[in-house]
Amino acid sequence: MPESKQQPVIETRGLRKVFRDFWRRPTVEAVKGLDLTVNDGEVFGLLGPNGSGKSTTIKMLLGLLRPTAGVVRVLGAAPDDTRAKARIGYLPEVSHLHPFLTPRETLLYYASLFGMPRGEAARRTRELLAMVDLEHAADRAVGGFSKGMARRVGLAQALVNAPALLVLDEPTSGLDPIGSREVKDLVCALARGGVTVLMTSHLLADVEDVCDRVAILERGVLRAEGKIAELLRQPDAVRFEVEGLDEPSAAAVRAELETRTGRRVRQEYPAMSLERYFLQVVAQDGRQRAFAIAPFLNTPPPPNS
Amino acid sequence: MFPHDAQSGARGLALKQVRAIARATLVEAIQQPVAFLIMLSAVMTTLLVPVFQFHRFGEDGRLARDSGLSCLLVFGLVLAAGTAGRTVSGEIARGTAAAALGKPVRRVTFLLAKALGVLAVTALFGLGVLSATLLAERGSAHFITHADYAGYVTDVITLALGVAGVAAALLVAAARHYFGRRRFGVSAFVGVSLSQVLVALGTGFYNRLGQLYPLHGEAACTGCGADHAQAAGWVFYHPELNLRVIPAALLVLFALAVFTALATALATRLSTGSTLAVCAGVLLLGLAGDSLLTGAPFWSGRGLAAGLLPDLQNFWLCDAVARGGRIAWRYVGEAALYALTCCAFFLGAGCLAFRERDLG
Amino acid sequence: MTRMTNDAQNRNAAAASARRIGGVAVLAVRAALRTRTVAALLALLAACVLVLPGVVKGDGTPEGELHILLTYTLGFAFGLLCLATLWAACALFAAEIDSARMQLSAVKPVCAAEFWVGKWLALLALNAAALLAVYAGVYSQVRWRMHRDGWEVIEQPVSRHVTRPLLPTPREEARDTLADLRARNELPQGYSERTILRVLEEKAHEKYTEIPPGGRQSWRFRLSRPLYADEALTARLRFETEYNTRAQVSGICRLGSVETARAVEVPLDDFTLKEIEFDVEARAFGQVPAAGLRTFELSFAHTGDAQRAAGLLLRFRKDVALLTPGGSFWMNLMRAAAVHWSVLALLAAFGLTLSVCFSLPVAAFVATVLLVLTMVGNSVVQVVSEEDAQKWSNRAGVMVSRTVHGATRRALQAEPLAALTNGERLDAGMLRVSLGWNALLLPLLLAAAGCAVLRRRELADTE
Repeated sequence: MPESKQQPVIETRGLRKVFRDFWRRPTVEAVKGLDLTVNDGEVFGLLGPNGSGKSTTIKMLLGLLRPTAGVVRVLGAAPDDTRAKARIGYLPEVSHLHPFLTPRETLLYYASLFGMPRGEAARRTRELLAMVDLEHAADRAVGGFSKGMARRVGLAQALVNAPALLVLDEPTSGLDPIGSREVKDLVCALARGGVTVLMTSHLLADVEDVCDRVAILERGVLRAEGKIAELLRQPDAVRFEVEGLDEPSAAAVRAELETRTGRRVRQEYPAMSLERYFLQVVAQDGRQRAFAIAPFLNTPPPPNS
Repeated sequence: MFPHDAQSGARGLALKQVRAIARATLVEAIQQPVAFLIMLSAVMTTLLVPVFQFHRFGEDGRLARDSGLSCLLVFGLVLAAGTAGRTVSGEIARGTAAAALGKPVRRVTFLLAKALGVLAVTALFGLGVLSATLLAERGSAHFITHADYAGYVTDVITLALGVAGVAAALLVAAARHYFGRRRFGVSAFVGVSLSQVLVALGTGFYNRLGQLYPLHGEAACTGCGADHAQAAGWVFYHPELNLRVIPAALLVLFALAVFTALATALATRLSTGSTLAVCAGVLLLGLAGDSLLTGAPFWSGRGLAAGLLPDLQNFWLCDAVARGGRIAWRYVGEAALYALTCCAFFLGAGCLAFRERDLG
Repeated sequence: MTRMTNDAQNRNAAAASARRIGGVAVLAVRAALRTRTVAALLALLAACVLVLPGVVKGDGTPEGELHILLTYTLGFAFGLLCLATLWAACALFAAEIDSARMQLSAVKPVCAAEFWVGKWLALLALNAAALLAVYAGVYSQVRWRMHRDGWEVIEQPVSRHVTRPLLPTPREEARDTLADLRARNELPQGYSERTILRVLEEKAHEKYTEIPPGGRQSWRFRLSRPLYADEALTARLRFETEYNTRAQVSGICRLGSVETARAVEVPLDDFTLKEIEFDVEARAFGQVPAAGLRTFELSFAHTGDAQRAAGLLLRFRKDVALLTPGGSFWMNLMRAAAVHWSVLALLAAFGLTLSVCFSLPVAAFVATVLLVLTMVGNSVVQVVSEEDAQKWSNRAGVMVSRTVHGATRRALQAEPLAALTNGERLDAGMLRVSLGWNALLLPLLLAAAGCAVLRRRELADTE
């Protein structure tokens, strides 16, 4: 993962959200004084159990909810500033798409909301549909799609403006392992291109694979924040990996370490992840297609955008 | 186990399922803000007609009575068709119908229970509007000949109590929502209906001139036509409500039951808006059917329509109550049978349509 | 260079805004066309245009058939479109917000005004198409019946300019009467001068004049456009008199041109119907100048028996008119369609603003109730007397009715169906007022309110 630049893309100070009932009485304090910074170019994971305030935080960042207190700056502006919105892409947890539109019409519609010329919008639509493998269903109504297919459409619409900040809420939800892998590859590719990504997920393995930094919320309070490698490191243990070591040599090394340290040494044989194994098996059948990011996402944006 | 036990067990289960689904439908329907708004609008319109009546046609209370029954029909149709549409087609679209039918619930049971639930909503609505109609008719200008006064008298106290009952119901609902976090819509809907019933019962304690009972002899009753001078002497309770309206209101409720069945059947295939539109069309054709459709041979399009569409003129007999007329209970019974037949037909068609409906 | 760059940037910004509005509008049109509700509406409109004229029986005369087509068919279709537009507008925002689909659009760089305008334009386009289809259907029916039944020229629908007598406006007359009453110290007690002025103005609108037997009444007219040599002028009188006494009424109508000082006398002795029209060719007034004739005087002298004949009652502001050729019937239909379209534009704006504030069922219900209140309010204002309005129990209702009437008076003052049925050309000024008020000014106010609410509204639920 690239080293993140220090320019903050998202900044919150003392962010608070209290939901009230009809009588203006507080019912739920979903977010309690959150201080969060997401820097330019990093992939940031926002984690937490159900009801921890992740989605509420994201909706406040996007201007869908108004903070009760605190300051929110996104791309240097208030969340409801249209100049900031022009550079944001958002994939919600549930893709509430218009069921009577086809994927092509959906993407053209959202492209038009960015004021994009028709030719440019059509080109990007083609490339995005190819990227999410929906060319074969481009002219079918989204209402008849499976959850995974709808998710792909949702992902495509989040990228139609080649955003500088991509907000993904459970991006791999509903996708098969191949789709999940493609999403993670996409996130990494975008991050290499300088896009800042803020994502939430309950699949911690996915977060470990792609995120540079994470924050963990619990009942609206920030419990932990930092780089993954630093947070997960066990300070009092060291692991060596040696390839091609035979059993007698391994036993000898173990004995030497136990003698030197006076501690019990554990010997393991590393295993690949189940995801990797699944993808290998599927690739043998020729099912896995070559994933390619849409060309327009690789093109750096013009200086005035 | 004996086969009989299994059968009675299955019947008992089906009844429990029907009760549970119908109850859930009733609560889910009346908690919607629009249900409360419809109830409030119908009751307030009925109560305020005598107040804003600018021309007296010489028939005491007729405008109030006809307005109340019209409100019952029109608002009731919107409530019944809208609720049936939302509760059936909405649940199919949201997937909650699939979740319910994933349990050991038959589709027929589900649909009939839904229809019963909507009927319960309509009945509760009808109770409130009927009571308001009785109050409005009592409150409207009546020509009274009294020892001290002869002329038109508007029973403002009754109308004011009716409006106050609505206000009290809303306050109670607000208090339950504030202190007990009970759903406002449910409390308000039920409260407004019950408040009108209570006020209607309470009108028995005073006469149109505002004099409290007990009263004796001629003073006991002003303008209701009964000869209390010949009675036992003292009158302690006399509501002076035109109870002849009740059969007319029952007939309108039968019509609403038919529309409930029709809307439930339509909602298995159409959206809520389309269901409402078709029900409105059936209402218009049903009321105008006498002039548009009768006389055509049964094999023609018009004849077929005349046979299939419910003849709503059978349920609209407001004119029969004018000038002291009465609707015979035998007729009410026959109309009930007719309504039951229409309901069975529509619900049967609905069950057939629902049986083949994909819910995934 | 900087100015050119700024101009180019402004043009780019305007083009981008237009694309956003267009995108929102196209989505709304697609949403409408791809739901069964629109299909149901189209079916109802088709039934209205094609079936209703066959079902509603007229008096068998071409005039009666025209009345059914223009009043019942167009009226019913317009009523359907009003309700459909109102409810569709209520759904446009509310359904998207309730279903959370609005969230994906709200995070895009689209301002509230662009959303509102895009959806409103979609409704305008759909209504224009629907009205065009309905009016074309009615026009086709008229032409078909003309051809099938062989209507005489005089029976065919026309479009004529209507010129009313030159008189002080009702407001001026009311002010004069008020001043007169004040001078004579005869102002009614218990009413404010504002109330008296309003009542006098209402009475002036509907003021009757009586022409007793032996009496005579004159009116002066100035045509809005001149009468040329090859054209004919129609004089129309409507009157109120007991039917069983009309047989004794007779008179002489004298129509004269002020420019040529020539007049034509027409004896009138058939007062069995409530309306009399007679045509006079321009040449009858002598040599018609190239600029045409503009100013006329019409007088009626009652020649009936003073002992037996009844007086003739006329509302001279409304019941006496000169009619001149005013274009084709088809163009007048289009003008009527434009007036109806403007009312639908207002309803669309109203429904959109409600849909921003409430959920779909509540917005639709509130919209319908307000529509009914508007109709009832306008009726109440027409029938309520000042005595009734003074009663404490009526005050609230009368106040609400008068407020609603005042707010909607300009929006609804054009009566296109009545004009079509009477063969009157819809006034250009009235058309401008309708379009300006209904399709520009009021929607602008409603849009401002709706956008203010949309900007403040939270579009997401709790998690």
